[in-house]
Amino acid sequence: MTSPNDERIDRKIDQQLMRWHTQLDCDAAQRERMRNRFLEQLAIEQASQNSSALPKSESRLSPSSIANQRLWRNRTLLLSVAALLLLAVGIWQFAPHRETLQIDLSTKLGQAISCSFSAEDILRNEQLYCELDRVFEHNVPVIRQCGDRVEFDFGTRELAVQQSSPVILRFVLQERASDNSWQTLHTEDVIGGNDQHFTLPQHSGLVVKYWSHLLPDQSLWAEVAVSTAARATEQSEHCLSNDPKVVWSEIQNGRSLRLVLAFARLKPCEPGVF
Amino acid sequence: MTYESDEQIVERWRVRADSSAIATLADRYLGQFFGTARAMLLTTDDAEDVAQETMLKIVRAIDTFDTSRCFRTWSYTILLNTIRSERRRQKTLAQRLKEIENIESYADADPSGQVHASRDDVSQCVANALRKLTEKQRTALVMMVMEGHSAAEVAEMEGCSSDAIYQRIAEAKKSLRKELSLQRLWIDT
Repeated sequence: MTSPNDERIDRKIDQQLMRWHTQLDCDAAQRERMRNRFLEQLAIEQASQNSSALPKSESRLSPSSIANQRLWRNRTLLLSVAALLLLAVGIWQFAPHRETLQIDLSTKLGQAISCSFSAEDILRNEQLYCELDRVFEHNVPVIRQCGDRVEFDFGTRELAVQQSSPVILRFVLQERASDNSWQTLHTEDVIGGNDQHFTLPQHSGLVVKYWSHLLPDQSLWAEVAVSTAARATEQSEHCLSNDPKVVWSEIQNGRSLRLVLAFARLKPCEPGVF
Repeated sequence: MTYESDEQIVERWRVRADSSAIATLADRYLGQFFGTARAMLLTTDDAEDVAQETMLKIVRAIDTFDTSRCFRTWSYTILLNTIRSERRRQKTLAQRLKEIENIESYADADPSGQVHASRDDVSQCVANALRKLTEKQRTALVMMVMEGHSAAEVAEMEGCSSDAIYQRIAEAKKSLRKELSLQRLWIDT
């Protein structure tokens, strides 16, 4: 039950709230900016719907060329991993507890990468992950691959032990070309465990913070925060294995950019097997 | 020039595939969505994103709009859902980031990024008082008192009865009457 005094105050509250709300109105410049942003985003969405789906895999090869390529890759992989191990074991002796190593694998990893993972990608990364896991006694929770470069972080045993189901993540930054197709500017692969959180090295002015959790049905819940000089956005995505998702898009000075995320599960390592 | 109702614009868009209708609706509603989101979220940057995302959701869902309903009420229902999602997402992200990096700036309770429009002490006090209300109370207050929707319209947006909306308004005003930082404003001058 309100008293006459309460009713009088309520009228003042209404006036004060309306006055306060008026201050929140946007000005003409802000309105124009929002309108342009909306129309640009709408154009991107409509163009995405009209263009072909995300690239799924590398070009098709004949069975014989696949076999030859697999043989070559396996040989190269063995040589690369052997060289990597010699180098890495030496450095490991002197590595502090949480340090990042950078190793060049130009003979193997400089090839073009599509958004999704081929079976060979997955096999190669399973081997790389398991070998590093074995050599460093489960102390490498995150392995990053970018072009010719591989980096891995040394973490604590506790952190690494949580990684019962390794996954590989692929971040692909793309730009729309004049022919309306998406051209890849930068690709970064990260191998880690069930739960991941990290910040990717800055590229094209983008700071990408990432968190993910592997759900019981083996799908991935990911949150990606992208910051540019102009603005910051966050997006949550439910990802299925090897089904790339656009997690960020923006128009910057007339350039249409987008960030695509793909993930795939890797087989857990068997003890002592390589 | 005759005034074109929202529903007529939607019809122009759907039946005649007239894309200029989208721009007309954006002109009409983006600013309103921004003001409402700002009052609800008490931030400026997020309000812009919410306004834009709401317009995009409207575009995506326009085929499901029932023309026998009021477009404004329908669009504000989408806006309120977007605001709720944004709030949930902010909380989750803030929790994650705090756990991971202990970054305080993402916390939704952090006043540093809030209410950029608060140019004076009174505005800040009003914003702080609104922050103390429950989400439902604040929604009812913003929608009815500030945005001028009827109780029936807000009830439709919120999926409850008009009585429930009146009840939330009454509770909100009771809280505001008792808010110490605002009491000087209620004294007759």
